[in-house]
Amino acid sequence: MSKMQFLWTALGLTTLGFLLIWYGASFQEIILWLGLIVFSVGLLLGPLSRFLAKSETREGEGKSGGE
Amino acid sequence: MTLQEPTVLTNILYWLLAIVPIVVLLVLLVVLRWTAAQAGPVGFFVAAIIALLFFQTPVFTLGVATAKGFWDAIFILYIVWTALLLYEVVREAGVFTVFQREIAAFTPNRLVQFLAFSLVFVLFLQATAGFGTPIAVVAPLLVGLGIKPLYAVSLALIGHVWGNTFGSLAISWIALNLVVEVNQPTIVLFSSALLLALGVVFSILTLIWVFGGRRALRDGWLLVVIFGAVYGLGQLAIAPIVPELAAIVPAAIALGVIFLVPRIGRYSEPGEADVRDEILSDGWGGGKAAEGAEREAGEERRLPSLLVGFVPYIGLVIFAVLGLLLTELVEPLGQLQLGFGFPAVTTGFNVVNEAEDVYSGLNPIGHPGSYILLSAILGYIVFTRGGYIQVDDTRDLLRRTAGNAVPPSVAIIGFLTLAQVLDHSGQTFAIAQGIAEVTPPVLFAATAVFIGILGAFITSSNTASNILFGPLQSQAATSLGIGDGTVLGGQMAGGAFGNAIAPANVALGTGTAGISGREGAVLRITLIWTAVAGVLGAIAIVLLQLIVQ
Repeated sequence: MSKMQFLWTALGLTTLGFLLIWYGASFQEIILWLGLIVFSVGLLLGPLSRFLAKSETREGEGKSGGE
Repeated sequence: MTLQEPTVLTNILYWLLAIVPIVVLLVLLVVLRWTAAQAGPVGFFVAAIIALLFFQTPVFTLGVATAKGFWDAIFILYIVWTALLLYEVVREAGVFTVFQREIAAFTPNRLVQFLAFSLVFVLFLQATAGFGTPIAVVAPLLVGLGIKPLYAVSLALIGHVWGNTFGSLAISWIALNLVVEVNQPTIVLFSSALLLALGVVFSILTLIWVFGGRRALRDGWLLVVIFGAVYGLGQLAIAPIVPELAAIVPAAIALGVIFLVPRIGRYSEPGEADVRDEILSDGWGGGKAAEGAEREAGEERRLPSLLVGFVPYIGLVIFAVLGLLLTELVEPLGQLQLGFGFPAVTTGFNVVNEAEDVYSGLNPIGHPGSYILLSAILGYIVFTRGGYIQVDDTRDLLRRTAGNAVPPSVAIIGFLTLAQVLDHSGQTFAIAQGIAEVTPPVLFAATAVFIGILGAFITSSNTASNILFGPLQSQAATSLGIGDGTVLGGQMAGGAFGNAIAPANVALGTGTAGISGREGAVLRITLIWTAVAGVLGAIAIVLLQLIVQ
């Protein structure tokens, strides 16, 4: 997976995790646990992308140069 | 967050544990140069583990804190995504190329051109829209002017500090009053405005110095006096009487003043001091942001006039003012709130967070993201009708927007969930209480400034810093017998200074300036500025404290 794919997946999983946590907090606690796991896996992809992602230029990168 | 009774949170072990997530975050960002999207989540996990293992935080509380943090992030991401869309629309139309070519018509003096954006437009956006809007909007404009993205983001962060406390109709002050019964409101307002006046002078001096060093300072001293007086004295005069107008009125006056500045002899021609090469990408007016458009221009593409190119920004100002008026004057519109409800949660140390029907409701009429979205749509319509953007390019434009928005989005989610976990577990309280307990009474007002800075660093918001630490500062002032005026004033101003290093703001700027991943480099610049501003503010507030006593 590329770094961008990691981050897109992170965004998707954290969003799903948020919805599950909210539902779980309001209605059924076990769903909150599930949501927290999904959210954590999603967020973990951020730092994991540093080590596991194939290096590539992301979308639009370099549009403004380095510094 | 409330604490029902004193707990074991206030001892050195808990204090050390509580600062671990912040130290980890700083080390990863500043020392090891991880990107914000990588460091933010690590900070969250460290805070969550410490909360579960040492701060008796149930998983249920951790979950609710996480969800609230995510919702806080949505609030900011609405600005990030729309600001990036606006940037792409403007860039696609070649506006930056036009902007670079024609800015000289406004004034040949580059220092004035530079301050018009890095200070005056930044502070107008902060006073009206706030919530990071000026950084997201102006950083790319400075890049278009030719400034390196690293400096463009850092300078926008330093330039926007003054407008934080009383911007958006003094929302930070209003929030403080919701959580604290303020005993000395006039002193709070006066002392915070005084510190912000010092802050804005320091901001202007920094901007001018970065622009052209000592020569620029010699050239620009009159601008320091003019804008220092408009912003600093203006706010100082208005804040104790009508705090809601203490940022917007001086910011609007300054917007008028900048158009008059080129009529002053020395600023009607190119200055003696020129911009330093170190901060330029490729010469003045040669920002790489415009290269794409430049290439396209070479392929016989039509370019808009400067006025047409600026339609989205003019629209942004109008939408922001309209939004502000509508939400203030039309009650049903002001009360509109989208959001999620959450139950009450607690920890084993009695850190209680009450249930909320709608947590941190998002008002689509009053949210800056809506103003930016409308300006982007307005720009798109004007530019496609004028033939400056081809409809066929829309898909690419949207794809670039999404691609650039994802890294800062993950970072901001990490930072804001981290902030809520620290808050809900009592770690934030432990940090601030520890600082307050070891500080002598005479120096507590000085410490208050740094607690305010810390709050803004943790939460990326002056308002949230006041909500988080206002009660603690007030309690500490009362127990030390020093009155809450200068202490809460220091908190409010500190919260504003801390916005220059707020990780979410930094990620927002790097995202829109196209240097996602270089948050540590930005922080290395703004951390120094904030530390110096904090020390200046601390000295000033202690002197004021001695006078008040």
